[in-house]
Amino acid sequence: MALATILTLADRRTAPAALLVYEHLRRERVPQVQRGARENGLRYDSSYADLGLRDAEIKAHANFRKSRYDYDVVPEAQAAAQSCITGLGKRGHEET
Amino acid sequence: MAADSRLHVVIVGGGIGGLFAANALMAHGLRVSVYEQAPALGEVGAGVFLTPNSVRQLQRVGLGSSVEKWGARVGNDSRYFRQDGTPIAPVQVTDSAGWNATFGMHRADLVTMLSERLPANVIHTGHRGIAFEQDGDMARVSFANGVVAEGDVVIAADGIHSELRHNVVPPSPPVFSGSVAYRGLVRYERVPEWPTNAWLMWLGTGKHFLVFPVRAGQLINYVGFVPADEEMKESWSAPGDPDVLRRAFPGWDARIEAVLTLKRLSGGLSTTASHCRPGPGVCSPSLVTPRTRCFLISGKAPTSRSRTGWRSRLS
Repeated sequence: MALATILTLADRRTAPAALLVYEHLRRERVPQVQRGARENGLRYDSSYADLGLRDAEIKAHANFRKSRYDYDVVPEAQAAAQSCITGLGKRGHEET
Repeated sequence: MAADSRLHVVIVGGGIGGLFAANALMAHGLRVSVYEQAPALGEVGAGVFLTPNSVRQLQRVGLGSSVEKWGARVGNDSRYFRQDGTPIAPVQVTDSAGWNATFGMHRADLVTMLSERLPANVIHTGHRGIAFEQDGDMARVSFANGVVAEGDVVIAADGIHSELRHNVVPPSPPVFSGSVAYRGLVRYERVPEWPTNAWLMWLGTGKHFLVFPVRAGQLINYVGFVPADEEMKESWSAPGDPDVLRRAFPGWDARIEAVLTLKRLSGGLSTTASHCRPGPGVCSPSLVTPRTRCFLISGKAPTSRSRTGWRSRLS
C-alpha cells in the first residue's frame, strides 16, 4: 500500500526516484519487524532455564503487539512521497 | 507532480505480496500486469493470520467485507499455554482502539479474494520470470516461455527463491532456521474441543503448537513447529509425514493429542522449512537499487517466524 501511495504521485520520469522514496521509508522497519518475528519464534521455542521468565515476556508482549497493530504505513508514505516526489517533479519541470 | 500517463507496473509473482500490490496499485489508478509461474492460482498452503494493521490496508482496497466473509475472527478467548495446558497469558487480538480485526484465513481464500478483484486480463499464469533489464525509461522482464513483458516499473514478488532478486540486492542465500512447520487443516466438527473463534498456542522447549480457525470457522488450521536436523527445501506444498508430527508432542496438552491421533489428518500435512537471510538488511524484502526500475517486495515467509514478513507485504 505504501508503494501504491508513492507511485501514484510519480510519472515515467520520476518513477526511479519514487522507488527510492519507498526504499527509504521501508528499509529499516521491514527487517526490524522480521527480526522481531524471528525473536518471537525463538521465545515460543522456550530456550529458557526459567520458564517463568518466558511467561513474563509473553505477558509483556501485549503492549508491543498493540503498537504493531496500530501502525498505518499510509500517512507516512503520503508525507514521504509529497515531500520528495513533488519536489523532484517541480524541479524537473523547471529544467525542461 | 506527475502523471500525464498512467504508470504500468509489471509484477512478477502471484502470491499474496504480488496480488496485494496489484490491488493497491489499481486502487490508485495505475495499470498492472501480474505474472505467476504456476499454471493456476491454486489451493496452496494452509492458514495465514491477519491482524489489524493488515486488515486496515485490505479494507482500503475494498476487501473489508471479503475478510469478514472468508476469515474467522479470533477473539478474546485466545491464549498462550505452557505445553501441559497451563494458561500463560491472553493473546492480544485488538489494536489500541479495541478494534478486533484479527482473522484466521485459508491462504487459498486470501489468494482468491485478491485475484477476484483484478480484471481477468491482468493475471498471466504459466510465466516464470527469469531475467530483468532496463533500457532508458523501459523496464523489461523475460519469462522462461519466451514472453517478454515491458513496463515502467517491475516488482519482483517471486518468493524466497526469487530469480530477480539479484537485480536489486547482492546475492545472499537463505539460511535455514532449524525449525520446520507442519501445517494441516481439519474440519471443525472433528475437533470439538477446539474453538472456532480463538487462537491457541502451546509453548515448549524447541517446539510450539498453534491452532486457529479459518474459512468462517469451518476449518481449523493447526501448525506444529519442530526442530529439524537437515535442511528441507522450502515449499508450501511438500508432503509431511503425520507420524513424525505425532511423535513430536508426547505428553503435551490432551487437545493436541486429540487432533494428532485422528486417523486421517484432513487435507494432509505440508511441511515448511523456515528460512532467513543473514547480514545487513536481514530478510529485507523492500530494497531498491538506485536508478533501477526493478525492486523486490518478496521473501516468501510462511512460518510463524515470518508471518509479520508477509503482513509487511500488505503494507
